Amino acid sequence: MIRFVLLLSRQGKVRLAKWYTTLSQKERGKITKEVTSLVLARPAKLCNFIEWKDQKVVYKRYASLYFVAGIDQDDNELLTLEIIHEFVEVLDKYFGNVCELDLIFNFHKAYFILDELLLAGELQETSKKAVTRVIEAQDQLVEQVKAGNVNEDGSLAASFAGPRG
Amino acid sequence: MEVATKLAAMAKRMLPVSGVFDELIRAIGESKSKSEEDAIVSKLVELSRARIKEARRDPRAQKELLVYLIYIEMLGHDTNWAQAAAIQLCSDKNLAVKKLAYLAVSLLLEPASELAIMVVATIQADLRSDNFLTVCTALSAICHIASPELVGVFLPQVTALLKSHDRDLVKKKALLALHRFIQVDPGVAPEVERLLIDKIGYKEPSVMVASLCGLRELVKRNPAGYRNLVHYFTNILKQAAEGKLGRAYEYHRAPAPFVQLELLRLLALLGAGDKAASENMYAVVAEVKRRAEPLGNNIGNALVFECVRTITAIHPTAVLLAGAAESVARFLGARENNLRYAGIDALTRLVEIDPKHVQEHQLAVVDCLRSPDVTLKRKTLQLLYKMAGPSNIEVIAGEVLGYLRESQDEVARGDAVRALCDLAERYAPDHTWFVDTMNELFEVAGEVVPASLADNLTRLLAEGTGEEDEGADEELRRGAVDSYLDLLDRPKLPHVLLQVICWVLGEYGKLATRCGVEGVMDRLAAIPETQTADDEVRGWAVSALGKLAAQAGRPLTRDAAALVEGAARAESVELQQRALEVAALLRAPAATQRATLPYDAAAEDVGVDPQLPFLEGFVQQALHNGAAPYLSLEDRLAMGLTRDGGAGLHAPPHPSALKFAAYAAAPPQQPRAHPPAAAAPVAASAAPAGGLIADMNFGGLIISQPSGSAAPAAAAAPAAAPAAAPAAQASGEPQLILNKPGRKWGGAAAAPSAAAASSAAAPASSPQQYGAPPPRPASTAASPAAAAPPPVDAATQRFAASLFGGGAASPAGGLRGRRAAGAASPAKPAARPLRRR
Repeated sequence: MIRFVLLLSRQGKVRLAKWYTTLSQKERGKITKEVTSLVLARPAKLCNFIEWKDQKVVYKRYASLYFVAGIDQDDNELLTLEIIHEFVEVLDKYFGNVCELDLIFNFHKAYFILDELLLAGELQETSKKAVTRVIEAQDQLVEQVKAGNVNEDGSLAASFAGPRG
Repeated sequence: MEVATKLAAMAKRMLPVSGVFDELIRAIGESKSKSEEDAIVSKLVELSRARIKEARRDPRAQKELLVYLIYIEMLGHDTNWAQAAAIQLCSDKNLAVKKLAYLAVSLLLEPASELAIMVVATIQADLRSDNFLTVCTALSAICHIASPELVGVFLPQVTALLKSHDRDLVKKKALLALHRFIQVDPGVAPEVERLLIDKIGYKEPSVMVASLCGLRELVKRNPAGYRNLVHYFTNILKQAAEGKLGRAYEYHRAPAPFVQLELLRLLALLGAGDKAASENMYAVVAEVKRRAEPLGNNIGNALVFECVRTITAIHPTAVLLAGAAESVARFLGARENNLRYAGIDALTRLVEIDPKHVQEHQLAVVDCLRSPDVTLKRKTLQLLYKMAGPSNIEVIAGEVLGYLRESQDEVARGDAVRALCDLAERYAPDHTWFVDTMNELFEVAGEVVPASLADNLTRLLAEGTGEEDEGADEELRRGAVDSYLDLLDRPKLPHVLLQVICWVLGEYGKLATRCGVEGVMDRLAAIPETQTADDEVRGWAVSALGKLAAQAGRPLTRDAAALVEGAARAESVELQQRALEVAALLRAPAATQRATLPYDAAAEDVGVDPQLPFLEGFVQQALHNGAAPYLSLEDRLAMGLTRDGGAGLHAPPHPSALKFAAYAAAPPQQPRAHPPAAAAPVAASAAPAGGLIADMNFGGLIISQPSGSAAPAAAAAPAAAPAAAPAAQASGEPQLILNKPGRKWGGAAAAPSAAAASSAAAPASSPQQYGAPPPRPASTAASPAAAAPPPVDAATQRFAASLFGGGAASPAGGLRGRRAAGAASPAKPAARPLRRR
């Protein structure tokens, strides 16, 4: 399973951190710090995996952001790389050409998207379209609530089709 | 349309918070130092505190507060002060706020936080909501905060949702919540098993996949119980590979690859070790691989890689293995390091099934080993461990030692050391090599070497080859003494190595060829100055000096005497005792000294009579003087004299009286359980056992070292003393046997040559490996890789030959050849492992 997902800037600042194992705040901080220094120190062109303690760290750099995932020893590294890539694609699709600033200022949206993609450390939705559709539905609902078109228990939501696949 | 999209995109990017936050985030982005960042965070905290007050009315303030909190947490700062407020917002009616609040709670709360209980009621209410998005949000929240106690609370509702809710999205999330339940509390497996299995055939793929996650968790725990599901899985896998799940699941031209991967992993678990189940999978796995191969992109490679992993996990079949070997060849031949890494990983798995596979890839493996990429290198080392044998152990050991010199990673070093110890003990060609390798290992990685290794090494030296060839043993020890004297010239030797050095020099110092006993004494006396001066090391040196002087019958040199004298005034009681004992012993007649510390008797068994009859007189005297006779623990318990035994000594409890009973029963202290007379010597041997020569502490009483195995191990001794004594007593066996007889430490096969031993031994091994021109075997020539081209330089090929030369083609290749020419037949060392079994 995936144990954590971290988004790091090139300067080592955390842009998003999601944990799928139970860890105390302190342990999280420690892991973040160590993984950050590990990942940032890797020269380009090496492979995207690091064996670290009892887990493996898979990372990939997209523009100025590092997407990092910690996985179990027996997980498929190549696959994890693709999960990261799928996350990036969904972000890209949602924001329309995503950039670091989008994630800095809308990190909660990035969290929502990640939550639709991964749950409890496993890939929960493998269809990009389905993920985007759920997020859009939520956005739209929020818009409607804001505009006062709908009562707050969200009866309008019934008109959205759930993901069909 | 264009404009609309742009507007929508802009709306998405609009912040739910005010401009102040925007500025602060920017400021954090630009901050240069930690203190600067901390200052900004404290400003954020101030802002959030203000928002908590406003949040009661204003939804905008609520959202801002939550966003701030998430951000503060992300920067690693404390958010305890606001967690209750965040929890409160979970019950907000506005879905946007609710979602954000759940997100904040899942990020903020510590796993064991008591506050998690506060969210439970809110989640339960939300699970009953009419709005499916609210339900989904609550289900996601469950996945984040689920703990073993909460599983039972949520299970009924989640089950009901799974069964009756009409939304697929809800079903999917409910299944994932079940998956999480199994993770936190495996005990729920029987309850949820049926629910998961029912959904395997569900028409909506995302729901079906969600059930697979939970099933994998179950299968991992009990593969045999789910073998009947294999044909479902193979069926779905076939459909997925053929693209029948629909275009929505296509990813970079691959049809539903994530579903395929999930199923492959399930099959690997189910097929492992089960021939019948595996046979049902062969066709579909081959088909998946065939379809994935032409894709040639990342996801295609991930699929192929997973196929190889599955093929090596299930019951092997020649056809699939051949296909897997082809894929490995393709991965290893790639330029991308990711693929080469995958190739090495896959090759490691293949080699476990059949070592022959590595032959084709010799040069690729060597290439990866030489890669500047640490990850790749480490992975390749793991492959080497798997393919190690008597023929290539020396080369592999050289590689591992080289890696240990470079690598910084604590865990990786630990792994490498353990692997090397294991391999060296199993395949060491001869004793000199073992001693040299271990010395080098201590030197490069002393801090991660397990204490048991020092044990093994000293035991090997003390016992020699185990055969009646005193000359060879002597030679081995002389070599060790000389090389340790050389080693002492280097600064900052690791602790564990110093311990071994002190012990060896103390025991066998008089064998030194380049200086006399006095010279060795001076070197020992100088250790606290040249190395470290902590009490432990000084203690070892003092004990070693005592042994050396007593065995050789010579007085201590001036320096050595000064050390002992100084130690006698040390603050450390243990060190003081050692020094005083040594001093006292050296004043005794020579015969007593020799009887106390005989030469080369470390490996002798010592008979200890636990009744300690020689103290009989003392006990009688004490009784005569009116001392109470000794009562055993059982007697005392029976009479109620011991606290943990019963109430015998206790007055009936009085409400206001002081409480005398201990709060919890302390574990009975072993040494006290023995006769008081016996307790003293036992404790004496236990206390200073941190050192090498426990024998000293017997003062004048008992003689040679009772602990061929225990004493050299600093770590083992304290544990051994309390444990060993009662054991001996219980078994009624008067012998304190610490050495198991019948152990074999390799053979006398290759008697160590004086030349090899007297040189600085340790470093000598590496030039040997690369310098020696091994007879180029036919093996590389035969392999396709070598048949290829001259661009591979001769050195690499030679290296490959020495690494793989053990193959059928070159029985006399590399170092192996020379050694084989010595005495041992190629198969022999393997049959006679160094490690005791």
